[in-house]
Amino acid sequence: MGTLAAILSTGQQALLAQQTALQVAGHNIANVNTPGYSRERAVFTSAATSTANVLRSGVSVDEVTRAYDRFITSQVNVASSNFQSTQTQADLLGQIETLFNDLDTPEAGLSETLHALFQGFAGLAQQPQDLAQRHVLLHQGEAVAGALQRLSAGLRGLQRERNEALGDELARVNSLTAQVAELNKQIRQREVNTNHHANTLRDQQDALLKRLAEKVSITTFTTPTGEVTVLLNGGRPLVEGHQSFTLTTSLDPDDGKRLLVVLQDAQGSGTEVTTSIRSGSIYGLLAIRDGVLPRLIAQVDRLAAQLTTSVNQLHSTGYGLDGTTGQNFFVPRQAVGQALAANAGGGTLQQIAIFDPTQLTLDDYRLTFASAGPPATFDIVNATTGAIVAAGQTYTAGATFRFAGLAVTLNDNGTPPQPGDTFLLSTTRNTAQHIAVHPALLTAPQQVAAAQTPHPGDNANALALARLQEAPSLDGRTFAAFYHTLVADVGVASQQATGLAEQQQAVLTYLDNRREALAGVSLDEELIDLIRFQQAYNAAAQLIRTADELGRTVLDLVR
Amino acid sequence: MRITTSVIYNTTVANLQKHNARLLRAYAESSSGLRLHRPSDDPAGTRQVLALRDTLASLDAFKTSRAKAQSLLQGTETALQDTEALLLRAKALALRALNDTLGPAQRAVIAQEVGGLFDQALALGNSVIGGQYLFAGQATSRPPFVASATLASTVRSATPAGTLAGLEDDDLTINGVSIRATRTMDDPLSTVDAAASARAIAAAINEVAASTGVQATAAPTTRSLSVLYFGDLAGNALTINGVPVTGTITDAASLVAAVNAAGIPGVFAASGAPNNLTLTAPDGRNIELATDGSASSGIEFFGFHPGGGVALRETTTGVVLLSSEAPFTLGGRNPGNAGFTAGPVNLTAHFQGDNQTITQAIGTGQTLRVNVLASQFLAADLQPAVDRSTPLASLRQGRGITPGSIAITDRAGNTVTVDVSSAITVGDVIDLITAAPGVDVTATVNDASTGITIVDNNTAPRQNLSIADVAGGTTARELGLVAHRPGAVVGAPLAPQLTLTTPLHLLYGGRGVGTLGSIHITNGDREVDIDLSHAATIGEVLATITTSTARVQATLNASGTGLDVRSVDPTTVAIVTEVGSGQTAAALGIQGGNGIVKTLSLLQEALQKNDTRALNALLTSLDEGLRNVSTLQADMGMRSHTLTAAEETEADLALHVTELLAAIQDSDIAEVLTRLTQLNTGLQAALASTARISQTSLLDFLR
Repeated sequence: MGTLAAILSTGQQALLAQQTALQVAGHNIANVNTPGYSRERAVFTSAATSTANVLRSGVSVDEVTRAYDRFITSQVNVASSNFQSTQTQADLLGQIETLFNDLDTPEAGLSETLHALFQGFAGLAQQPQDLAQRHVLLHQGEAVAGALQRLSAGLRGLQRERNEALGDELARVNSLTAQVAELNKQIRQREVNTNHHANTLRDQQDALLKRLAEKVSITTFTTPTGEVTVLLNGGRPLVEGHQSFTLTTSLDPDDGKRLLVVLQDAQGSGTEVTTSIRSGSIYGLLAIRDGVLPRLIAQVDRLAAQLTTSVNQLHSTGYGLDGTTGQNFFVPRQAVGQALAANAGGGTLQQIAIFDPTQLTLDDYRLTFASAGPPATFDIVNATTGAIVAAGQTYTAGATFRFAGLAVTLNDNGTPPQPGDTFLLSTTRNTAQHIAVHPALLTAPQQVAAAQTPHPGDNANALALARLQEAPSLDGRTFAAFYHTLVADVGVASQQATGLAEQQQAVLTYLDNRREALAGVSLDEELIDLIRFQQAYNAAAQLIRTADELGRTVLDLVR
Repeated sequence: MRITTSVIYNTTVANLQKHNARLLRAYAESSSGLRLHRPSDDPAGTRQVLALRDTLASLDAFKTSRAKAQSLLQGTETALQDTEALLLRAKALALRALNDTLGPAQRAVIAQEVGGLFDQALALGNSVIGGQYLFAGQATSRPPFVASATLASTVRSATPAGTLAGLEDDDLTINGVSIRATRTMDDPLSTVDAAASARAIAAAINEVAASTGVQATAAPTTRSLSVLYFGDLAGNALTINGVPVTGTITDAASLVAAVNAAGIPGVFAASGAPNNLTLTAPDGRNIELATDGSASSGIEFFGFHPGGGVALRETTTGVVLLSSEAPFTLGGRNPGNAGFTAGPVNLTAHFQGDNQTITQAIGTGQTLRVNVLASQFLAADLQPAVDRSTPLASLRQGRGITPGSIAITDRAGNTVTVDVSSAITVGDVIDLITAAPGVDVTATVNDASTGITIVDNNTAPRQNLSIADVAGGTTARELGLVAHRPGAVVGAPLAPQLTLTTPLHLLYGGRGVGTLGSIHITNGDREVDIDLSHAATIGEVLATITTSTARVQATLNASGTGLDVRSVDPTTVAIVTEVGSGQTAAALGIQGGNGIVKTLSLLQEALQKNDTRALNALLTSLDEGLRNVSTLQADMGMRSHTLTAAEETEADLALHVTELLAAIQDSDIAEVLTRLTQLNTGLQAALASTARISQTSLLDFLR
């Protein structure tokens, strides 16, 4: 049974409810430009006002919900992960490209200096007796060496910078995961204690997760208690409940210049997770550092190594003006080797010498111990082609064995090498870094071997050296063609990465728009809502006035 | 789909950015005129552009190398033209001198003019372009021709030995300076007739070298024997320089072995043919052959019969070589006691260049021979190759090898020092190296027959093969062997001179001369054809010519590159010509056509000696010379043509490459400008619509 008071009460409730709705609309309008903001809606519920009757009367706003789609949000996260990964790679490849940009800055580029060197040999062939021509040639030799060194140093510099950037990026990830964990705590407090939706906090958390996804590849899920768990690819947790786990770096034991990513777990022990990062800007950075850059450095080294060998081989068989022979033009290649950090035995590479430069290949080699013996045996494998060079070699401490122009002496510190122990050998590594014209020639240019016989007018060796320009010396290509292909490869990689980044951006934009469509604020819509709630408010006020008039009527009856 | 405010804004902003990026690129293309700025603009195009730029730069570089070749060719052509003019002048002079009305005095005047032509020919031979001697082969840093007056004495012999006359006081004068009498003590090496030996005469002449300006050297003594029958030797049936030669003799090889086994000081035997024995004393001592006639086996030499029951002794002297930088004159009461004849000795030229060709790159994969060899027209060169029998003394253009040791480290790391002091021939050095204990190497004459190759036989090499001199020595370097190589050491060319034992098949760098035919010699009133078909060595050629009835002496020339044929009659000049259409004289470098310098020298001598028969014969030589020069001129013409053709081809190529390069890297301005306009319009439209959209809102209609 309704009473006037009940009508007033209904009116009052309606006024309050419409006010709340207006407030929500106002909140939405205010946040129209807030990134990651999810549009809110006041949820009206018709409510009973009197406890005596089951007659439903009036309205109430029980909760304010936010427009949110879990699937779109996670799709956006994946897309921004991918986008950041490709964008980072595109940016870095753009930087690498400038090192290989012989189009715009040809003077100091490898293409032109290499060409100038062979022209220098051709010039010497024209005037084999001329000392000035020899000085010119040596200068051109130094220019090629300089260009190779600059290229190599540039690539190594980028690699080093990526190492430094990795630390910064991981610090940002750690800060983000810490904030996500903190928000987990706050949201739980808010929602458990007050039974309210912590919409703003959740929006903040979503924004943090998106920024986290931009850095590393993550998967997230929400626990029944409303906390977000963040997992790295491979299922290792970054955030679990109120706790976040930090990512740190450690030096690669087999490569002192490479930093690995390590996840510190709750017990304080670290797990290497470098390869678990599969997208995001950190992945982009790692992909360039561990993929593109080492490959390019190796190719430039191979070019320098083959150039050294080819030129030296011809040069050392020729004769200088003073009758000297056997002189190298470039400082000869050096063999380098290392024992892997994981080796169990105490084996060491006592000495690696090149005893026959003509037998040298451009390949790397791997010595792996097969049995402990005694006598222990090892296999020599061509690490580049995978071919077995020699299997089942017997190990004798201090003994020297020879293959592919190398003389290698293995020894140990008393503990013999164990099965699986591996040693790496290379005759190309760092060649581009160290290539230089032989210092003996710089002080005695008459030793430049233009002749194939000890005659001052003989130019046959200089002609042969000049013809190296046309010789398919490296992978069936000329030196110039090899380098040009390298430049083109970098160009293709850069072009592809840029294209991919644009494509990923399009995907991201589409998904962002989808999310916006669902959760974004439309001013038109909010204005309509304003009008709607204003009118409802007016109507509720009218209800109160009607009730008031009814009351007056009743009072007038009494008077 | 629900369109929210930020979607509208984001989309418009993104679109505007796209427009701006495209515009920026179009601006860059139009302002630089280039389509490519970074490799990623067009990776395939980038590769092409870089390769084409290389090609273009190469084409440019070939221009300078062609200019260099051009200047060398032109210099050579000019020298050839001058030579032709010079030969024509010489021929005109020779024809004039043949006029019967001319007397010795007038011919002597013409001889002086020919002397001038000789000097000119020498200057042409030493032509220089860009600091480089044109006709020196690859020895371009020093003048290839050195003028010198040289004369070789005749070989003298006496039977019985001990009766050969030496020089008495005033027997010989050089440039008016008297040479003292020779004495036995002048030559402690010769066992008999020491006062008459080449060594004694050279010693007496050298005593006054300061005042005569003439140096004398004793050339190796040689005595060639033809064997009629082989048979055993015992007792004193054959003694050489007093040392008995004994043994079982069945062929030339066993005879050579028996002689060498006898250990005769300073005398060595060799054989070039089955019935031939040549004894050589490299130091120029006399060689005495003697027999007591007791050989029972019937061995018999031509003119020397050990089994004839008659004792016989004979001496042979060496040759005295006189050389001076200026012409000189011999005189005296009896110069024949030194094997000389009185008269003037003219300048001849000594060639010290080589026969290596020089090539220059004139285009892509195209090279051109740019030099002409002096041996093709100025000075004949028989260019002997190296074989095992080549004497070490003849190597390095006659400078020989300093006796000493070689340090060899083989690829297994073993080191040995090989003392090659005892070696006489290249074969000896090769055997000593191959037999060296401790190291596993094999030495051979290299494939090109120019030097020695040392191959390492170790199957598991651990280091480079290393050949070096021992401290202070130069032997290894002189043998061209100093090297540190991961493989065989191919020695440098050894440049041997001719020797008497040089086989004919080694001439011309080992190509040989095949079987010789006959040559014709005009010497005074003698016109002799000499058949050389049986000769196998240079020594046999010389001996055959010398023992002919032409009254000439054939010797090696001073530079060891060819042969000299001189009259033994002081009043005549011997001239060699071909028989019919034969090529024998040309092959031996004595026909005159490919030795213009010497031909001019002979012409001068013939005029001085008033020898009209020689003048007549020399006309043939001069004609041959003219023919050689015009052949070379034609050859130069061909080379010039090749050069011009290369130039045109490369110019066409350069044009094509430039066009190609432009097509790839240059932007198409018309297309770029059109695109720019289009993009500009698009941007304006986008901006206008953005303004329109952002203005439209429900707010506009609620007022």
